Amino acid sequence: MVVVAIVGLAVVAVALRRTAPALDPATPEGAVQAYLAAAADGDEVAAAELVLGKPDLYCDQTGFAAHLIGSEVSGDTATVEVRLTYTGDGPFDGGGYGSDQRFRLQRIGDGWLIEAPELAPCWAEVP
Amino acid sequence: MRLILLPGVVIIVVVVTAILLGRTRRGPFTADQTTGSVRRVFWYGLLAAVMVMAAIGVAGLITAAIPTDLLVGDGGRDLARSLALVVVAGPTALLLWTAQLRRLRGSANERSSIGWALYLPVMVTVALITVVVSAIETSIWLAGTGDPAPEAVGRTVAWGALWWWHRRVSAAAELSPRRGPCATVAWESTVGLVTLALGLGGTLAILLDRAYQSLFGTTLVAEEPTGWLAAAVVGLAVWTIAWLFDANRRSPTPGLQTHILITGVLGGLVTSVAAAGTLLFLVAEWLLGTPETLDPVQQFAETPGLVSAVVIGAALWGYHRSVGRPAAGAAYRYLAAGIGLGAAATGLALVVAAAIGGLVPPLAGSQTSTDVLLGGLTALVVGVPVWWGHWQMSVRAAAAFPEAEARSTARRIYLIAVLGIAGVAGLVTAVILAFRILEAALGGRSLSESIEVVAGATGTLTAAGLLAWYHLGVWRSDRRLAPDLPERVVMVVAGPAGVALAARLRSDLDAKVEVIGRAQMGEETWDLDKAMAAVANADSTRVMVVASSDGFEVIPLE
Repeated sequence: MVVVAIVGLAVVAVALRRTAPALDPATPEGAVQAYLAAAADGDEVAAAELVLGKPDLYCDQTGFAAHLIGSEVSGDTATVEVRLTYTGDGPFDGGGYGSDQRFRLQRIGDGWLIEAPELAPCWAEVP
Repeated sequence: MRLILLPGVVIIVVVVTAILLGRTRRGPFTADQTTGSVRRVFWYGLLAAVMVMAAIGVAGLITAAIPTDLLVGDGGRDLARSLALVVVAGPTALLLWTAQLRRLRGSANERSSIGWALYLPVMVTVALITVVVSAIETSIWLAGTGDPAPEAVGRTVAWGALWWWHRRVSAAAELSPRRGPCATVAWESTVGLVTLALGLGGTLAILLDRAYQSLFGTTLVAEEPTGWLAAAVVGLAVWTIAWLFDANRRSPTPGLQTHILITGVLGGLVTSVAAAGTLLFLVAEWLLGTPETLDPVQQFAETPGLVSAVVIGAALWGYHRSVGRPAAGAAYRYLAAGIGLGAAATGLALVVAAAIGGLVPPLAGSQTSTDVLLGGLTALVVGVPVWWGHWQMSVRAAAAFPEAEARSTARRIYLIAVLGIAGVAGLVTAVILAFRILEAALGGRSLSESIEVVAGATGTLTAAGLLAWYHLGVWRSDRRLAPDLPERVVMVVAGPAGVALAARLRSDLDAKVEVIGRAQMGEETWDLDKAMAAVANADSTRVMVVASSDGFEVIPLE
């Protein structure tokens, strides 16, 4: 009984393995998704393209997942709240730790750009 | 709310359970005890490890099956970890568990082993705390007042199953540990009761706070009671299952009495007394002292929380007093008297300190001796009635049954603790006081410069001296009434009836008894009362009772 239930659960979990839907990059959530995807790849140049003023970015944390918590648009500014979950490398490195991150964005032309200083998981040197 | 406190909880559960287990007697000695203990350390360690790993794995799988708004990443690594844990630890856990059940059914030694008696309460408590914290997080999420917490849902289900599974085993008559059979349910009751009390207290505090704010027209940040309400509901569920439907219906064992006295009486009474004292002090400070603020609304801003603590603490105390008193009469009386005495002694020390401090006007500082005096008086006002009421019960008990009361373990522990604490406090403060006086005499700082230290030390010394003087008198009269009996040690070699004899020897003669089961014993016809009389009247206080099918022999030992 227990074995069947656990095997069934494992099959369901693998079958339901999620992939993130690609959001419209012209929305605040889409801009944040593109930024975080670039950060997860360690592509600092691509990530910097999505930040207001294109600062020199450092993205050395790549093993994370991001979940959308909420977003709010008011006029030409928006906030997007995201939970970042960092996962350890080995099976005993813990189930990861999470941190909530609130991005502030500005409408520039057709798209949205992220405002410093809330840039985690990357960081920029203050000029 | 996080689970970072769990390692500390594990240590507490192990230590307290082990202390209580040490009080229960061992079974017959067997040759494989040494290798058996080493084997059990690894066996139960491994069992616990695979159970925890399997639970984490299953929780991860459930979490993975709950849809969330994923932005980046695919959770592949988390899924791989959960699957690895389930695939490896799951079958191992089932395998070890089957072997464990076989061993428990096959050998009496395993059921009376300390490993099994520690494994169950530790596993159940850890699982239950994880369930409680996760269930509260889940409720907050589902109520729409918190962030999404899919991992809390996974943990609630997986650890909930682990908890329920272990609790059923610990309740099964043929599997439950022989030593400390109620340890598991006592810890469960404690977890449920603490969660329930915190939840109710928090909810009540927020509701009272809202009333207070609307009454006096201040609106600070309005806290939502959802989390506290969830804690109250979860705590009530656990407490109902563990206490009302289970522990409360069992005959009281040392483990259950510890729960009643420590969590219920001590926890409730200390909460109530401390909160009532603080409340009283706020009023006294406002009327007679020098409050830090001139705004009455601000001075009494803590009132809702304090009132809630008084109410919940009193409820805990009242309920467990009625539950615990018949079974643990003396222990209850002396514990409650000790709490009152602690508050009263602190109050006395502060009053004396304030009186001495008032002799020299302070050069600077806002804490005037009036406030110290008010603090001391409020501690006396709440402490003395609690002490007096419970101490009088013991005085009446001592008048009715002088010798039995004087021999009561609870009374002796109480007197030793009071004298010990008073002695240490008195010694330390006497050194401090002597140092200040000699320093002044030898031309250093004058006494008035270090007046606060001198006043504080004198206050503590006075209170400690008074306590020591009074309780030393009680101790001496107890000793005259009930002088120490020589310790009686009895070794019983008998068939099954030896266990009954051992129980009588322990309760009637307060003897230390070791029972060794005799093989190939026919029907035992010897008389228990005759054996008791023979042991009591033996020439030596160390004897051996050897029973055979037709009688018994009492052999005096050196």
